[in-house]
Amino acid sequence: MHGRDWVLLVLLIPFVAVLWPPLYAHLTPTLLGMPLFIWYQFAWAVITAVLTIIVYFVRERPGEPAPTEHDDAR
Amino acid sequence: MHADEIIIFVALGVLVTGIGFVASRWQRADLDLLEEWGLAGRRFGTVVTWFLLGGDLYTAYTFVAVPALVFGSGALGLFALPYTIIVYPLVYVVMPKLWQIARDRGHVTAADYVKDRFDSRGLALLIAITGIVATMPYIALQILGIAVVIQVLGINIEAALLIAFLALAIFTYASGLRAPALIALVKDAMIWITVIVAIIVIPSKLGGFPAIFAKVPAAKLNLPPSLFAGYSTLAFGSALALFLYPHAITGTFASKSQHVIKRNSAFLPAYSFLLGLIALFGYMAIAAGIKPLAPYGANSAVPQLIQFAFPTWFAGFALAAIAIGALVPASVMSIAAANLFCRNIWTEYVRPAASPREEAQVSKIVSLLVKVGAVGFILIPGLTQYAITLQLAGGVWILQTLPAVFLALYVRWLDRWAVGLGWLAGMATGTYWLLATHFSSSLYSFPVGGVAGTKLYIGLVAFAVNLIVVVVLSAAATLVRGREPEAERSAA
Repeated sequence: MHGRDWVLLVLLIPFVAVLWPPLYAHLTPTLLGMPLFIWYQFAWAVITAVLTIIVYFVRERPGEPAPTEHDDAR
Repeated sequence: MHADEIIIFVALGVLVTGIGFVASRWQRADLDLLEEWGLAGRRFGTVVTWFLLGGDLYTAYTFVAVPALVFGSGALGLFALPYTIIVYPLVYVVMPKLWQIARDRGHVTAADYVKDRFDSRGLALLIAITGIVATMPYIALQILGIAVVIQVLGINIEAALLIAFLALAIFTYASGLRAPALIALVKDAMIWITVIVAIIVIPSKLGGFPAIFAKVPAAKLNLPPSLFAGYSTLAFGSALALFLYPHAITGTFASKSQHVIKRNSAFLPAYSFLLGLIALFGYMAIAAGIKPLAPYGANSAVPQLIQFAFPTWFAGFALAAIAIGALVPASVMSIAAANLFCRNIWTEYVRPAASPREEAQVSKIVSLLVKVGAVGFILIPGLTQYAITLQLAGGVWILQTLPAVFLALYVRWLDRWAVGLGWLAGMATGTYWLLATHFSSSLYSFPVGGVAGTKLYIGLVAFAVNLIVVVVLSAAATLVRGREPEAERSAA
C-alpha cells in the first residue's frame, strides 16, 4: 500500500493551480461572457474531483481492507 | 406578500419537520446512547454522507453571504471557490486517519482524540471550548439566514423564527444526527433544483450570460493584484479550518468507513461547483439592478433576486430551500457543540461517573440550550452584528486547534505543553489582529512586501505563529527530556 503513496502528490496540483492568483486573475479570454478569473476556478472544481477519483482508484485496491496506519501515531 | 408563495413555503417546512421526527425510526437503534443520538451509530454510507456533509458544510448562511459578498465587493467573494476546491484533497489524506482512530478508540469529538493522544484533559478542554465558541455564532447565522428569507416573504419574522426554532429543537432532541441526515436528502434536492432552474431562468430574463457580465463593472469581475495574497491566504486558511469545526467532524465521524470519506472527497466538490454558481447570483443581482434592503443589506440580494426572477410559487419553493437549508447545519452544529460539552466538560469535570444514558441526556438538553442562545442572538436587536463578527473570529480561532488535532496524527514528538502554548499564541495574536481591524475584516495589512504592506488572512498568520511555537517548544522538550517520555508511553 505504501508503495503507491506517491500518487498522493497528484493532490498537490490543485493547490498550485488555485492558490496562485497571478495565473488566472485576468478578464480574458472569456467563456459565455465570463472572465477567465471566474471560469478558470469552476474548471478547477471539476478537475480536482477527477484527480481525486484517479488517486482513489490507483491507491485503493478493490476488496482490500483499508490501511490501518494509526498505530504509528500512538 | 403572496398567498401561494407563503403556502408552499409553510407546507415544505411542515413536511421537513415531519421527516425530522420520522428519522428517529431510521436505522433503528437505542437513541439513549450518545453514539447513536450524536453520531447515528457511525453507520452512514457514501450517499447519505454526501448529502449530510453537503447539507452541513454548505450552510444557508453561506448561500446567502457568499453571493452577498460578490454583490457588494465583487471578485473577492469568489474565494469560496478555491477554498472549497482545495479542502477535499486535504480531507482525503487527513480525515480517514482521524476517523479510524476515533472509531477504534470510541472518540465522539475531536477533543476526545486530543485527550487520548496527549494524555491531557486540560488540552482537550481548550479544544472543546474553542469548538463550542466557534460554533455558537455559526448557529446564530443559520437563524439569520432564515430571517433574511422570511423578510422578503413579508410575514412576521419573530413568530416565524420561533416556530422554525421549535421544530428544529424538538426534532433534533428526538432523533439526534439522524434528523439532519434525513432532512439533508430533501433539502439538498431542493437546493440543486433551485440552482439549476435559476441558472437557466435568470440569465434568460437578463438577456443571457454575456449580457449579465457586461452590466457588471469590470473592477468587480477580476481580482486586483493588491488582493492576490489576501485571496489565497483566505482560501488556504479557510480550507485548513473547515474540517476542524465540530459540525464537520461530527458529520465525518458518522460515516461507516474510510472509503466513505475518500469517495466523498471526490464527490463533494460537486457542491463547490454549486456554491460557485450561487456566488454568480451576486453578479446577477447587480445586473438585475437589485438594491440592498434594510436591515439585512447585501444579504438580502439573493432572496430579492429570487422574488424578482421567479413566479411566486417557485419563489416559495426556492426560499424554503434556503430556510430548510439552515435547519440541517443548525441541527448538526448544535449536536456537535452538545457532544463537546457533554464529553469534554460535563463527564470530564462534573460527573465522571456518568453512564452512557446520562451522557446522551446531557447532550440532548445542551443541544436545546445552545439553540436558545443562537435564537437570542438574532431576535435581540443589535446582537445580529455580533453574531457575524464572532463567526468571523470563530474561523480564526478554530484554525488554532490544527496542531492538536491534525498535526498530532502525523508528528509523534509533539509536546502537550508546546501545543497548548502554541494554541495560546495563535489565539492571542489572531484576536489582536482582529481587534486591529475592529473585527470588520478577516484580512489585515501586515508589514511585509513593500511600504504599503500586504493584506493577509489573519487566521493563517496566527496559525503560523502557533505552529512555530509548537515546533520549537516540542523540539526543545524532546531534547531536554531525551526519549524518556516516549519510553514511558509505550510501556503504559
